[in-house]
Amino acid sequence: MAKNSDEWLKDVRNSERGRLKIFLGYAAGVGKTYRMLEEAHALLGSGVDVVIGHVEDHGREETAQLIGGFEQIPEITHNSNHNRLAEMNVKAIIERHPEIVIVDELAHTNTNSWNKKRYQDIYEILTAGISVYTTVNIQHIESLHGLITLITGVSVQEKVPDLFLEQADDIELIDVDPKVLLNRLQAGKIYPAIQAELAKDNFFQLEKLTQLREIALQQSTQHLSQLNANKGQQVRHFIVAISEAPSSENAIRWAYRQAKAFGSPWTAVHVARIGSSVNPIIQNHLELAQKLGAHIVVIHGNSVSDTLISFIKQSKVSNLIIGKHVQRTWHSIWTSTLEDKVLDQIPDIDIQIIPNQSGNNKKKIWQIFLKTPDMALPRHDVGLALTVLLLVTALNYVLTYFSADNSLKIMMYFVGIIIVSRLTTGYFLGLLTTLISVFIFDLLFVEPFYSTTFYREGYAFVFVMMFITAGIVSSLTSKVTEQMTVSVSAAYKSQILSDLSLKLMTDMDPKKLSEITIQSITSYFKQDVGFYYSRQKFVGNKHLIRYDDVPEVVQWVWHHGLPAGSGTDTLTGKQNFYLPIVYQGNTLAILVGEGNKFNTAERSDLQGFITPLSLALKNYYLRHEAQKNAYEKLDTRLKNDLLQSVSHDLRTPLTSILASSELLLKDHQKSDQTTKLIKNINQETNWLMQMIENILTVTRLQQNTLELPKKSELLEELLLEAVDKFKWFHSQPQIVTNLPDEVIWVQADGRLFQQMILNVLDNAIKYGGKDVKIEINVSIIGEKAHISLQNNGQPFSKKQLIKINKQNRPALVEQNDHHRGLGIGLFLCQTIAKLHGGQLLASNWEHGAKIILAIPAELDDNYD
Amino acid sequence: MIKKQILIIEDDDPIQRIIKLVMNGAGFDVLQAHNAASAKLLLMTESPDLLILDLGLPDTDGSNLLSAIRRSNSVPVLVLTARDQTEDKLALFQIGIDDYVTKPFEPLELLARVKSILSRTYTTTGIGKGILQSGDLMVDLDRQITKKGEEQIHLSQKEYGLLSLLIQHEQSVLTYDVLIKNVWGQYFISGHNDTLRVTMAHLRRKLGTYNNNQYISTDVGVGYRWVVEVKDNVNYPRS
Repeated sequence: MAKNSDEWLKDVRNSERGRLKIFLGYAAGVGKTYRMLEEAHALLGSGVDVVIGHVEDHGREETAQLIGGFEQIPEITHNSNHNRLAEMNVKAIIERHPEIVIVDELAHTNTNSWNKKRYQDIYEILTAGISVYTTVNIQHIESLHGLITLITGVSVQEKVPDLFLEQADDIELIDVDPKVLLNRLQAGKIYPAIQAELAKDNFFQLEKLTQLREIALQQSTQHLSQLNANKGQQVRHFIVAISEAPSSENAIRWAYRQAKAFGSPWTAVHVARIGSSVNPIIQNHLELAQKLGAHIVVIHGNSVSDTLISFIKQSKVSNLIIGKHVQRTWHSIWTSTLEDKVLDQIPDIDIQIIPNQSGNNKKKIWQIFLKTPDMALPRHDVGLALTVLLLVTALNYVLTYFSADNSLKIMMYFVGIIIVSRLTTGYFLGLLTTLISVFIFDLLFVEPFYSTTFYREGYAFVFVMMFITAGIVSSLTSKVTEQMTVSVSAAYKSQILSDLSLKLMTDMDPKKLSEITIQSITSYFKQDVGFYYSRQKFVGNKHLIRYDDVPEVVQWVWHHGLPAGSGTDTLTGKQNFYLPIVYQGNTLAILVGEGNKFNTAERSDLQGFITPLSLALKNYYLRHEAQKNAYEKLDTRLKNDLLQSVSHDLRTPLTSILASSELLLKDHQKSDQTTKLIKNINQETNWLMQMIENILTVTRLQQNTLELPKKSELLEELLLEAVDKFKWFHSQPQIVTNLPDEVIWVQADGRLFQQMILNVLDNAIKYGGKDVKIEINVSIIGEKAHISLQNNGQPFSKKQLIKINKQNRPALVEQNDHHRGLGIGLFLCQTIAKLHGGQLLASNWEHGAKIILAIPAELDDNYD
Repeated sequence: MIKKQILIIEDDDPIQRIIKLVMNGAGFDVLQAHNAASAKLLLMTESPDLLILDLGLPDTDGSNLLSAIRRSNSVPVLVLTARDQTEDKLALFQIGIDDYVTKPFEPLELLARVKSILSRTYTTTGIGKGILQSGDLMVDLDRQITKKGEEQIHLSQKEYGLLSLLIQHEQSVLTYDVLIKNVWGQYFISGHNDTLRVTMAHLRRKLGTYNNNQYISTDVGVGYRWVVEVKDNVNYPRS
């Protein structure tokens, strides 16, 4: 958690502003000041210039001794209310300019100084480039003040703003077991005796202290996580070791809170003995952890510490949390504790030991004895042991005729014991065989025969030695056996899993993928499972889905992507459990299994089989998605190409018709009749041209209605270009365009926009009389540009006005309209206007009809 | 005077005939090709003064033919196209065309463009000098004075730069890139055309209209073109 002194110092020398280190405690007496002085002492020893700005020893001897080793900056004393008060001399400290200054009690309120608060003093010192070590208790932290007052019933006056704490480069939490703290209090080490009585009433109660401790831990971890987040350091990973001990439950909750404070992942690990099934207490613990969001891992091994250590090493865990009985038992003298072993192997891990708070669940020694080793002896194991014993004894009996030397017979019994240990599970039978062997040996082969007594004194020693040796051999052998089982079962599992991954790599549909996974799971667990690889489609043994209200559950699980059924938090009453396979929020499949056939540990093992399947399914769907997209792209491209070629093919003949008629019109040596006919050709061709353009536009619109490729365009440019185009083909009309002084930008698709203008102009001509005059006016009204196009011809009828202005309905004006084209033209104009966020309005003015296009616009104001 | 020769590359017979009619009427000699292969053959033996190229050819895409021609020949090219996407037009200018006309087109419009390209190619003397008149506008290139009727128009430097460029290249499209390079300098960020367009809008307002027509026509996304006829070296009383 805390940086070591060297690292800290390196940082100090690198930064201009002094560094701030805060020693945080959850109550007075945890040893903040002592710890601070201790560390400062170490620094002093390595040649760092450390001085004391202010420290109070509270009359504690050890502290006073430590203070003696430092240079102290004299404090300023003054008299107030007949008391002599001393305050830190900030000026003197800055003048002295040490590397580090020690200032106790961050929360202190100054009595007669420049600054009201001590943290202001410290801020000044830091700014001067001097680093500061200081101490504070959590009840002085502003944001925690309310909470702590609630817990302790005591409100403190001196508060430190959280912002100040956030500036700390390092916060070291001084964590002590509340019980130890209470002991210290009783020993009078914290306050002088009288104060102790007072303090006891308020703060110093076990319950309150425990809560305070928790808050302090959270505070410090939160600070760290902020620091780490800022520095982009690696993420923490908490691991909690679970046993059947009641303290595990506390450890789980503790781990959950820690992980939550850090926002980091956490894992609950249980090391199960080989061959033993996970017992219900552990099941409960694992379920609790799972509910709290832990990742569950169950490892089988015979040495809890070894297995745990190798797991921690592999998974790069930063914090280990273990539950522990505080009571020492007789056998703890012999064995080193789990935490010692872990620390021995992984020195840089943080270990937190959570005591068993209730304390009523001490195990009786006889309970332990009875429980271990396995008392249930398989019958064939007993038979085997008896046979071996009988054989060895018979053989020895034969041997007596050849030699009187008993050492050979002892050897024979050893062989027997080793065979029994090797071939039976556990070491109990081995030990029992040893005992019986010794007994039989004494009875049959040691004088006097057929009696348990013996004459030669040496035999007593021989028996003891025999028993011990055989016992060790027996337990070693059985351990070897266990180990073999472990590696065999682990190898088996990894073999099956790698086989599965390999098989799933080939290109198959979800059904086939699910079937292969089912085969693997069945061969490993010897249990039936099934998969829903879509909301309706199921593979696997049908008997699984006979009972539950399966379709409903499946719908729920598929929709929410959360597990349901037996052993989960949802629909617990169901017979099956339903595990969703989720990728990026999408359910890919659901695993169905019988609830009573898989315990929590086995379900976590199931995850190992699900992962390869989820990868395979993900790949399958991604592949298909890519294919689909490719088809769609191709489709769009084909459509575009088709449009291009159609427009080319249609325009080319029309171009020649138009051009021919234009040329003929220029030739003046014709009768009026011919001129009229040619004019007809010209007009009709124009109409056809416009029609084709409209149809092409509609087709293009259907392709990208949702995302019109708009650009910033100058409104006048679009308008003028459209008018120019229009003039090429309609030489007769007079069009006057009035632009405003402002330059107007619109977001538009240029071609569509011009198509809209052309259509309106077209209509203006058709409905205009002879010598039609068209006037276009552009103005800005609000945030819209109003383009009004008016002609001097026939005004709109009331019916037409209503139809056109009804925005929701396409303005397909009467079918029998003798002027063709009004319908689709205006309908298109409305659609285009809407796509540009605007609208088309029809009205009349005194000399004719008027169409207004209101389009969102922006004024250009950057021109100099 | 030797007649100028124009090669028309177009697969559609009626259009071929119309163009030939118009060009002959204006006193040009016409060569005809109906596909890219015959166009290439013709170009090996003849050296026309201008190509009119339809992009939709039966044997190859017109732009491919254009690239092939441009590798060895710098003859002016006017493109006929049914594609009116801005991107297509810009790509054509990049390969190196002189102008384009979108279908459907007006024959006389085409003729005006052809004449403009040819005059640009053969009468380059005097550019940047003298006085030009267009409609009721008078531009004195020597003194950089612009008058509309009797009144002097006050133009900013950029506005004048655009005006003089466009009026000297009467009838032909000047792309955004060309205008920006010549008026703003080549270090101006290319592709950022807003400034040009706004400047053009202000210039347009200052020039006003001539018989209700704009002096400068717009091809949105591509460039601008001076469309009112320009008279060269007019005698204007210098006061």
